[in-house]
Amino acid sequence: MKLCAFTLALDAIRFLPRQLAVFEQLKLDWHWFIISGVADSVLDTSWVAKIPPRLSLDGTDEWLTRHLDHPNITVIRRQLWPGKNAMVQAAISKITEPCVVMQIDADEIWLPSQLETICEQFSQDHCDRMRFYCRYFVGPDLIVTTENLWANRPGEWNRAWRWTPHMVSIKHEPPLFQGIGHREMDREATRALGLVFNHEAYVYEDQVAFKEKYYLYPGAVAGWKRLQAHTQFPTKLKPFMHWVEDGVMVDKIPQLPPLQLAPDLAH
Amino acid sequence: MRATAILLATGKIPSLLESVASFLTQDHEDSHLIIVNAVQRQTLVFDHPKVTVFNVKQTPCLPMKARNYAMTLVSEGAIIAWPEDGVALPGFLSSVASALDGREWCWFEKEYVFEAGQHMKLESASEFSFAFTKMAFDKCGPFLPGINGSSERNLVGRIVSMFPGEKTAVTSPNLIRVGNRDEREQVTPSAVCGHIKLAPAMTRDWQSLAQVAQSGKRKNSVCIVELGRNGDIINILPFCKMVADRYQKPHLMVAREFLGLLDGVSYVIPYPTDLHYAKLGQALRIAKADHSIVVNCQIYGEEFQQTRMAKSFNEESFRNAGIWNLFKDNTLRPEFDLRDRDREKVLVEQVRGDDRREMILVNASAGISSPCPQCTVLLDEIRRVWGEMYNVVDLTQVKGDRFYDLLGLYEASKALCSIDTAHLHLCAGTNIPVVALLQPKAEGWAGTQVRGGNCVASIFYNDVLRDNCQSLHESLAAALERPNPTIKARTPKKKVERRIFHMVDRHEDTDKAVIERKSKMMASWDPLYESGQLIPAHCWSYPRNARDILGDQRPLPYLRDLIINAAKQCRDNDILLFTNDDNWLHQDLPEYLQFHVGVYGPCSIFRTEIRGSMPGPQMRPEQIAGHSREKHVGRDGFAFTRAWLEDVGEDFPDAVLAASDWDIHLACLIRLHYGIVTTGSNIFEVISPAEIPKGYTMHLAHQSAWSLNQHDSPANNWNGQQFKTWAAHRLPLLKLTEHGNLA
Repeated sequence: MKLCAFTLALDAIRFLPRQLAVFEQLKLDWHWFIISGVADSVLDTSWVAKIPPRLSLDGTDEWLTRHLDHPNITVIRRQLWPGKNAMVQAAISKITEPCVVMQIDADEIWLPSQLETICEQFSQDHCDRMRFYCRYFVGPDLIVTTENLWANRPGEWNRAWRWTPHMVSIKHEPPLFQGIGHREMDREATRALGLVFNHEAYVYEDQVAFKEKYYLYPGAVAGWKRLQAHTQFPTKLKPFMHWVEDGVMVDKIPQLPPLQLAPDLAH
Repeated sequence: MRATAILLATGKIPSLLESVASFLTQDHEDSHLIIVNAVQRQTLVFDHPKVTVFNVKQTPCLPMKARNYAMTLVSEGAIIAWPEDGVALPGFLSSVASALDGREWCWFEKEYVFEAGQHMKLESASEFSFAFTKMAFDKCGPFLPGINGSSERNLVGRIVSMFPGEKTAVTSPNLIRVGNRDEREQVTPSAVCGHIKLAPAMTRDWQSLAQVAQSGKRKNSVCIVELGRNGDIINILPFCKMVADRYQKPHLMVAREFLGLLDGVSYVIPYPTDLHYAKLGQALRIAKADHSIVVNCQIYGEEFQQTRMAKSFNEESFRNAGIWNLFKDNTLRPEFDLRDRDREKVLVEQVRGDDRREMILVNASAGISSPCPQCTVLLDEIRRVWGEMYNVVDLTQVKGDRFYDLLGLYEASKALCSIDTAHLHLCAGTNIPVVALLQPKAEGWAGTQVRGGNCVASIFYNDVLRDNCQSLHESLAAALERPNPTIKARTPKKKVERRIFHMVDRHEDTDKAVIERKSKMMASWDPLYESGQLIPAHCWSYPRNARDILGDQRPLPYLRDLIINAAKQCRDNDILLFTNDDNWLHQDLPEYLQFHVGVYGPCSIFRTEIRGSMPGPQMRPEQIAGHSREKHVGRDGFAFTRAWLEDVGEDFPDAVLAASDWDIHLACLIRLHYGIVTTGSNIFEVISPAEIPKGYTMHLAHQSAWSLNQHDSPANNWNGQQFKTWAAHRLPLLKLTEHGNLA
């Protein structure tokens, strides 16, 4: 089945070229919708801070402009969107054929083989939707190791759906679509197929600074800096990121069980 | 499925022509129109493979009988009554065929009614939105007597009760009834008797009107208005060709009596009006209702005031079109690319007869806009002097099937001598040497300037008569010495795809009121970005700033740096659009720039300053401009291609943004591109094509930072000095102050 992925992008220049490199290795038909701009803090994302209308400041839009003629990429831009759901809807409303739809956030990295496996599962009619575990990065080489807590809560991460045109996005966080079938492939089943993605959410300081401001996490940058300087691992994350639950543990990558890691982990 | 439309004609000829024209646009291939003409005194004639005309000669002829007769001509498929006072959009018959699939009838729920010549209303459908199968008619027919549509409604009732079913829902109907009930009833049948040869044509862009009714947005289309007469229309054909080559095929609005002229050109969409050619004001209103871009080339007419700036009316027409600078360009000829060479040959042979001598064509009497009653003697005079050597042909006696058939005659002749008539315009389509006889000098503006480079002499009527035709004969002698080579048809250039990059200097604002004002304006950018009509090229950081380089208090960026940032992202033919970060943009602006920059070249955008509440965004630009009472010298936008930027090179100011003068400097530079010299008095005028019409942008009035006690700031001085130095060479007539401000 064809893969149609959508990505909401603001100041995402570090990730988009890497993601494109993954797409371009795919042996299947694919299309990537990149939706650029600020999402207004309304509806399901009304709890985040307001940002004045703008596009990216880090060269993302120049990069997008360079790829406007790419046959597999559609760029949709507004300086201010009426919420993230509107961004998603702008993309999926352009899908005209049955396909696999995936939400791939700007900081989420998959392997080409993983994306192909996902599409294969839908082609064989094994499910209508998929949920995944992720390797949640809180530093360039630090990963959250605990499960069913912050970073890998039970309801997370809904990322792939069997799609027919005219389905609509109801909300973005967490993603909910109208018209999707109920057969879900859960996290254990997808993990058994090697479908765990890298979520590079807190790898760069400016990412953390943005979250501090946008998600209203006071002291996030200072805590993140302390975590990067920390030398004893594994360790609890709470002392560094006060908004996570008590039991969340973080560890350095080399001490993790062997996993199929996405490329470019060394950055 | 075969779809047969039956039209009952009752003598309303203009609406009949519109209705038949709309049938001919139908995209359903297997379709047929039967016109049943119930007006005994008229015989309708129309030769078309998809149309059958049946002229009823019975007295009196009941419409019911006529319809029943028409039904005998139909053997199968879908049948629908076709309105004489309505039009169908191209998909109408296809939608009928598809809705009838597996059913005996279909009835669309809604149709449009076009009221008062301007409002499109959605109404419950009439019997004209009802279609049925031949089988249903065979079971429920025939039409029974009735007036005012009751005959049709009666049949509809019988079919619907015999074959129960539901009406078909439609969101955008394909049928338009022209006029409400009262308006339709007021239309009286034409008094014309005898044979009437039908020449169906649309007088409105119905698709565009329906689109406006549905979405509030006009279709992107250009309408050039030049109602007539023939000469005036021929004069602006080069402009029409330019628009077609560089942007898209334009509609050309002409009075219906001149419609035949457009059979000779492929590059316009004929857009006839039944208005007299002098009713310009009315024509412009219709054009603006139907089209997003309207260019008026006509230089006279009711409800219209023409400013006279050019030497002649036809040069003025070029000025109106925005191509004044190209009037002397002899490569721009009126091109008739659909000439009928066989017809031309027949005409040449008819005119030549048995006389095989070379021809001199003379038109000395038949002028309508510039008559010369005294000139009738000139034909005899020319025959007296030149008649022994040449076949002197009286053009007033020559009638071609189409006026442009004369092109063949021009090419076969030695010279043309004509008073001021359409010949002087048409001859520019060939190389025939021409002697033009014009209006006296005192009224020179009303006389034609012959274009094309083949005018040997232009002589004034009274001079010829005063000097005993000496000047006429000398001019003719010179003309006869010139060759008359045929013009080779030009290969049209491939259309250029252009993207528009929106360059904006962005910086973080801290003042809440400023953020609010700018956010309100920027909201108009987002739909244009989302649709891809504009590609954002915002610049937040610069290699230089005025604080570091000039010692200004503010770290203001440089214009060139902003442009370099955008230019490196685009291609040569792409358009770079600069606006300020507090400008509202009209949703038609990108398309207008595609037209303007594509057809003409660079342009600047005058500030449209708004105080108080903003006008509605759905308004047309000229309506928005009407809300601005202020005459503002400043410019809010510029648009040009990267290729133009490279041509201009170092002439482009290295100015500091958000400081004074640079906008005037750039506006003057763009004007010079068109040969327009800026003076202290014309600086406030919108001069096309250097400036686009106001209202495509808006600016909410506020105190500008650069004017607050900073008149002599380093940035302002820098810009002023640059402007002053440049203007000293390029615009010596422009008076500037010591600081480079306008005096």
